[in-house]
Amino acid sequence: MTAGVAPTIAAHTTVARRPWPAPTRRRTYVPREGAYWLLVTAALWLTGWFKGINLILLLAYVLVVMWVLNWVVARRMLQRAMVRRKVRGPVFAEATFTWEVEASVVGTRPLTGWEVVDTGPGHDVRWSLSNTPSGDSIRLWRDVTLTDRGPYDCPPVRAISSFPFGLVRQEVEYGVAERVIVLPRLGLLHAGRLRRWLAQTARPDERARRSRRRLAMEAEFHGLRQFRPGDSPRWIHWRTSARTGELVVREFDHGTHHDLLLVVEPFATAQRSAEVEAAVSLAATVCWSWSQDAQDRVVLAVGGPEPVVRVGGDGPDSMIDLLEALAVVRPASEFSPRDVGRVLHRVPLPAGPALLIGTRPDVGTADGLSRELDRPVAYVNAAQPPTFYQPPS
Amino acid sequence: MQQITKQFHRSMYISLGLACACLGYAEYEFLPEISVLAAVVGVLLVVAYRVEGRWALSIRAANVLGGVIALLAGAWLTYQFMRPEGGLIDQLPAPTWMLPYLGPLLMVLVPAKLFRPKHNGDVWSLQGIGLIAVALGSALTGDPVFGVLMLAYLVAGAWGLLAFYQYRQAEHFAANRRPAAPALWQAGKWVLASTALALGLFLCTPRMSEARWELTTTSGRLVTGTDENRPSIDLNRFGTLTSNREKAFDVIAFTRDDEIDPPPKTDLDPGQRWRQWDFNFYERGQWQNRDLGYSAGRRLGGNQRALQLQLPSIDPAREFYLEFHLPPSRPGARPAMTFADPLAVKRPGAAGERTSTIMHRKFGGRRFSWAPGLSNEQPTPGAPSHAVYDQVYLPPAEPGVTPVTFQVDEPYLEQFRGCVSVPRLRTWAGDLLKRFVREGRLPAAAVGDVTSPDRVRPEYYEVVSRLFEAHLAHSGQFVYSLTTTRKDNDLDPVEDFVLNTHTGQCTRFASALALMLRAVGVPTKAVLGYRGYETTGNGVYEVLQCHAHSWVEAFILRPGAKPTDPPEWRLLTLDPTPSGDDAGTKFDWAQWWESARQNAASLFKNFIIDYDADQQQRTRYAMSQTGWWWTARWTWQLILGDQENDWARALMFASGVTAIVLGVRFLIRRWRARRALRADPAPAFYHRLLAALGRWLGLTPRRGQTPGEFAAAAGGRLRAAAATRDVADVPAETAALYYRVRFGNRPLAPAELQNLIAGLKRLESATARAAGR
Repeated sequence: MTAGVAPTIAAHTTVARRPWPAPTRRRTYVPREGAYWLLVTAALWLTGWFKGINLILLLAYVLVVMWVLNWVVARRMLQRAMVRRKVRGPVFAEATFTWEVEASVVGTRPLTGWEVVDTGPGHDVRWSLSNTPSGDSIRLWRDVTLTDRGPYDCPPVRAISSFPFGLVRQEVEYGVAERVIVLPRLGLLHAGRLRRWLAQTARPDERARRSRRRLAMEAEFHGLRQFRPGDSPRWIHWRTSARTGELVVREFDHGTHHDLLLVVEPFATAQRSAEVEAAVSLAATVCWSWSQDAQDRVVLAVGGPEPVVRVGGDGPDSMIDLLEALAVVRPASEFSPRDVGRVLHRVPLPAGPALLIGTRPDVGTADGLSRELDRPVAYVNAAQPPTFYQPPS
Repeated sequence: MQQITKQFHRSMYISLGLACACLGYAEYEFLPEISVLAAVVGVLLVVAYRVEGRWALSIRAANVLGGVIALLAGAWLTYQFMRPEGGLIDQLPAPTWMLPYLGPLLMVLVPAKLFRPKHNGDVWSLQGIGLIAVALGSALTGDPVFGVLMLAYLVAGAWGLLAFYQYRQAEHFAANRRPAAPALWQAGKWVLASTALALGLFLCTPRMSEARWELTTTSGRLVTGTDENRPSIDLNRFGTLTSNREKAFDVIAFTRDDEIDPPPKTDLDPGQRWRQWDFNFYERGQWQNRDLGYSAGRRLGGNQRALQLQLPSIDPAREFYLEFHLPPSRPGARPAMTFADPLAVKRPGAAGERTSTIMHRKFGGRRFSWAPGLSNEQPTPGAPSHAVYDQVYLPPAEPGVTPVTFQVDEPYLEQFRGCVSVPRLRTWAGDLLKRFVREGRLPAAAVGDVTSPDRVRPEYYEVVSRLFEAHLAHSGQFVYSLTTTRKDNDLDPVEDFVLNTHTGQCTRFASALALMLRAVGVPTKAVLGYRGYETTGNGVYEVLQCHAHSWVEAFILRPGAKPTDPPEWRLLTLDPTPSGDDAGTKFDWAQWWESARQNAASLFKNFIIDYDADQQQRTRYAMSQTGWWWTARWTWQLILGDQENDWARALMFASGVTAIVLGVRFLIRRWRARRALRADPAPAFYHRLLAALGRWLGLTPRRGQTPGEFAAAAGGRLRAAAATRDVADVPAETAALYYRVRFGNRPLAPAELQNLIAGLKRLESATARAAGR
């Protein structure tokens, strides 16, 4: 691992049984009350020593020994503590997820009066623990919401103890800083309408008509299956549903030709752009919806100075790869269909429809890209989302 | 949470109350009226505790209250400045007199702040005020009771810190990991450990020799022992005398002066007196040694300074030799030399000079003589050569009467008859003398000297002295006590003792006798020194400061002495202090308690309050003199017996020690296991299930069997028997709840816990019945 580069947590999979991270840094902090305590102690000591007031001198020694004992005890206690972070499931911006930390104690005696703290730029979770039996492993969790997509650097998780008096704080960091990719916010997308819209998008040239006809033929009736959340109500086969007593939907045979070529144009002149965010969210929502069917594949291209291409595969893992690619999209002030086309030609392109999501009204980018790819390219302006898509609130 | 909050408030209020108690106790000596304020503050603390969390002053009202307190404090301080006399301003040096006045202000601040709405920062402020109050009290008193109060405050304060620590963290506690509120004993454990370590540091800290805080070291506290820097008897100080077990000096006694192998003398008289100072002048409650303008007279056995290489032999049959070892004294201080009393001298030699019986060691063993008390020669201050000196001692043939004779004239003796400052005592002593005559204990001819009709004739000095001594010691009217009080401050302390209080220490008795005898014309001296010793065997004797004693010496003429002019006087030792033998040797709890209290107070005073550079040096010296090797030898003999060859005993000893170690280890492990179980209540009920099934049915989980699997197996077993069929579901229910609490982090609701315990009880009963118990 290169120094300074945080490893990325595989957020989309259940965390495997990782070994307990070793303590990487031990620090001692003197809180304000501890500093005042030392100050008063020093004043008492000086008074007692210079003036020969032995009781004050003794009192000063008791106070300073209490402080030192506090430090020693807190330090020794944390030598027996083990802590590790476990982030489960994909983390989406503005979506609450479970932030989990596991703590354990070695040795023979229970550990008391310590804290597990996990803080970062967008989260601050802490748990106070008392009488933690040795050998016990405790799962600690808290609901957390991260606001911004993109890489999220998590400092090492810490164990803190000021036990017993709270005069000096000992802190131990476990492992190294980690990075979580916060995926873009997802909106609500009517996948069927998107597909139909893609199929029916009219193009003035013959090539487009041929493509449209081909797209229309792509969705052929395949069979019936039980209704699943996310299915469009339009797919419900009412007759069969009435006969069986449960919702049954029509299933279409999309085949490989239902793969989608998705191109994002993150055009913006400012560093932070609501249009870009909207475009990324729309693209992420399309990826998420399109990949719900294991057989569908998405090839994603993100325009910009250095266009990026990700080829989705079967299953959720590859879909998360696409979302992670979208998570790190930054606004770009230029978009060259030629560059995008050149990059796209390096990978096997799907035979399915092509969709360009932009941040502005169509200024001919879709046509340019269509020419580069030699296929019709549908265009959606994220700033004016289509009716089949409801942006995240 | 509620329990932690309650505990936190309780500990905070107790620690603040103890801080106020510390300050009130320390200030009582300076401002007696503070006791009323302390009582009021105590009541306010109780009220504040009762209304804590339910009612508080508004910030505005609290500020107004603070202003009122400031005004009152200002007015009170102004009054202290304006009062005519008797205030601390007159009694204490500036700016020390300000310290006691800070106390009431601090005490009032505590409840004023407690009634305000509080946040976490206020807790630290309050504890800071409490700490300052205790520190102020530490500067005002050195009393052992204050030490106890301070320790109690520290324990309560630590308890408060523990509770506050948990109180602050309470909001972050994990759902099923709420701790129990900290107990007082936990705080006590921390404070005792801290105090033990702090004491070590305190004792090792180098001290400035000139730094002595007078408020705590001389604020009326009395302690046994003599002060080498202030040789006097001060009767103006009163109070309870604290026993001081600090070593005054060591004495090694030999029966023969042999430098190579001197045979030890182990039968020294238990009542041996060690003379240090004598005083000839009394005024206003103080004995001093003054040059009264008339020196000499012709003293036999007087000032002879001669180079001697060895001690003389006086009476080989009865004499013995004493080697004195003084502990090192503070640089610049004059070593207070002490010698066995009475002093013997060598009869005139061929040159007509007497030989001193005391010699110093100096310069690699070479000796020279110097007779303390008989010479104006004084040792060089601080010279280490005087730390060791020798004396040849001849026990007096007649107890209490010095073998030395003094041929002194009347003007010289008149110096020892001064008692003008005690007119009432003179009257009282004259009346007592007349009473003895009336009772026939003294012939009428004894009274009526040529110089005064009220004086005793010189040949009756001894009789009168012994009668007066017996009156003080055995009449029953006077009682020895370590506590001295005053009844009439207008009287001289000795007059107050003789006429009013009748109780006191040896210095009161000795002073009273000396002045009583002077009042009837008997010349006397008050003597300060030591009486008795503690021995460790082999002729080594330790004289401690608690052996300090005071007695009287009266000039007497022995009947039948050869008439000379001037006559030959001897000194009669008189000890009027009741011995306390009348109390008997029966064990008495009160006596034991008093003794223990005095020892503790002595330790507190010697090693904390008065622990200065001198005491540190003396302690170091005492440590260096301790025979640590003796401990090792004692251990060796304990294992191998007195003959050091009992190997069977050693084997038994080793076996016993091993058994004890293993037993203790077992108990510690068991205790830790139970503690761990208590610390995590989640699996407690599951363990109870295991215990019930294991005890009566012999069911225990197999290796690798999960709680759920075990519960299913146990349920099947219970279901198979009619007696336990009703409780067959209990294991499964318990295991399910165990999973939930242990791994699901969802604690049991009180009703669930109640049901669970009821089910376990039914299971225990049913399994016990099934097992036929």
